[in-house]
Amino acid sequence: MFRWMACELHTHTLHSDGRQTLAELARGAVELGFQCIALTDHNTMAGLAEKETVERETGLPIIPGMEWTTFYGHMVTLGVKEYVDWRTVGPRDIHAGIAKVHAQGAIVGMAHPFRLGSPICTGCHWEFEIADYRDIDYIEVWSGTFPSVKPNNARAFRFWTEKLNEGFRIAATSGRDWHKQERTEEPVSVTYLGIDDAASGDVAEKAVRAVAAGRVSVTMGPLLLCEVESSGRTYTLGDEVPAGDPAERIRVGITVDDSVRRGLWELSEGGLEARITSNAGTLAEIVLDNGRRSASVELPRGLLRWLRAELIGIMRQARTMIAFTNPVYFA
Amino acid sequence: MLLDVQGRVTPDSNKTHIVYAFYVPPRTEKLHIFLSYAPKRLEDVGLARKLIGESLDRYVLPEHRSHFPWESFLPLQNLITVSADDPEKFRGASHSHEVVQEHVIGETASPGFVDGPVPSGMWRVWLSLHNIVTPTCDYVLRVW
Repeated sequence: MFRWMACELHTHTLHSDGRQTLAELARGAVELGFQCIALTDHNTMAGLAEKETVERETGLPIIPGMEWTTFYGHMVTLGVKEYVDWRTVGPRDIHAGIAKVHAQGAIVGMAHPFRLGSPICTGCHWEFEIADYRDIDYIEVWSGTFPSVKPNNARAFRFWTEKLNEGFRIAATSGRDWHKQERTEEPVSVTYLGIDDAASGDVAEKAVRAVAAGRVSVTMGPLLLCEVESSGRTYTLGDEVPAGDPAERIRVGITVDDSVRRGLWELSEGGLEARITSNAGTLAEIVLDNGRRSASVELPRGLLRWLRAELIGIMRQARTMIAFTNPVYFA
Repeated sequence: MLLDVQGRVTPDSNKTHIVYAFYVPPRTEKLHIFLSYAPKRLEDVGLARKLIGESLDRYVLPEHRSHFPWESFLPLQNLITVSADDPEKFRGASHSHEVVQEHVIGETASPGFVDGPVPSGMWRVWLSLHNIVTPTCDYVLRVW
C-alpha cells in the first residue's frame, strides 16, 4: 500500500530569481497542505545548504533539485546530489547531460515544454532534440496556478498522451514554478506521489522513486486514484499488468477522495464526471452525482497498452479537468 | 583587481557564453564579482512587435493565438546571468534579472554561490547571454 503524499515539485528561492527564502517557501507550502517540496532553483544548488535546518524547523521533507535553465529548454532535475553543468550542453547534446543526472540516481523532467521561447523567455519552450524518449522520466504537463485552463498546458497534456501512445512510459506532474509568497485566487495544483513507507531511504528519495515509477496523481482538488484488477490481482498507478488474453474481463476502479487538503480547494456541486481514457480512446464516462465518489467498470482487456483516470468538473465557473492520474500499463 | 573588462554584444551573440579566465592568488579570502549591463529593455515598440510576432508564430499553435495578445509580452528584455568556477569545480550562479549585480564568493557566499574557501589558481567567470534583444548591449565585469 502506498501513502499518497501532496508535493510541489517546482520552486525557486532568493538563490535564483525567487523572492522567498527556503524557510518562507517551506512554511507557505505547509500552509497550503503540501507534505513535501522540491527545491529547483535556476542553475544553482546553493539554496540546498539550508535544507536540513528548514526541514527540522518545518517538518517538511525537501527534494534536492535544480532547474536547468538553458538556452534550449528548461529541464527540472530531482534527487540530484551534485551540480551537473548545463552550460556545455548544446541543442543536440541533451542525452549526455541527462546521463550525468541519471548517474546520480536522479531523474529529469521537461519543464513547461510549450511555454513561449525566445525572445519572450529564452529556453522556456523545449527545443532540445530528443533522440530517445526513454531518457525522459517525466513531463511537467501542468505549469503554474489553475493550470488546466491554460492552452500551453493542454498542449503539453496532449503531447504526453501522444508519447504514451507511442509506447513510452513517461510520468506526468504539475509544478507551480513558485517564485514568491503571494495569495492567489487561482486553484493550486498538487502532485500526489505514492510513497512506500516500508522501503529504504528518506522521504525525498522515495518521492523521486515514485515519480520515476509513475506513481503519480495530479489534481487541483480531490485525490483521484485508479486501479485495475486482472486475474485476481490489483494494479495501481505506474504498475504493469502482465500479458494476458485480450478477451479477459478486467475491472477498473476509480476513487475520488475529498478529504485531502480539506478547506484548501473548492469544487462546484454538480457536473462532476470521471473518465477512463487509454491508448484505445475513452473507455468509460461516469457521472459522479449525489456525492458519489467511486466507480467501477468491467471491460475486456483488448489491446490496451495503458489507461488512466481523468476527473472533469466545475472550478471557478470553468468546466475543466480537475485531476488526472498517471497510467496503469499493460504488457 | 583580478579582472576588469567591458564589452558590447548584439543579438548575433544571443544564446552564447562569454568566459573569462583569470588567476586568483594564494590567501584570497573573498572574491567579489560585479556585473552591469545596459540597456535592459527594448524600447523600440515596432521592433518588439515584430519579434514577439515571430515568437508567437514559432511557439504558439494557430488555434491558441487569441490567448496571447502581443502587447502582453512587452517589454522585451535582455538577460545576462553570471556563474563562476574555481580551479576545480562549479562555485554557483546567479539567475538575477537585475542590471547591476554584485556577488561574493568566500566562507559566506552571496545567494546562488557556494560557501567555502577561495582556492588559488585559474578561475573562470561565465556570462551567459540568455537574451540579447536590443541592437547593442554593453556590459562591465569586474572581479577583485
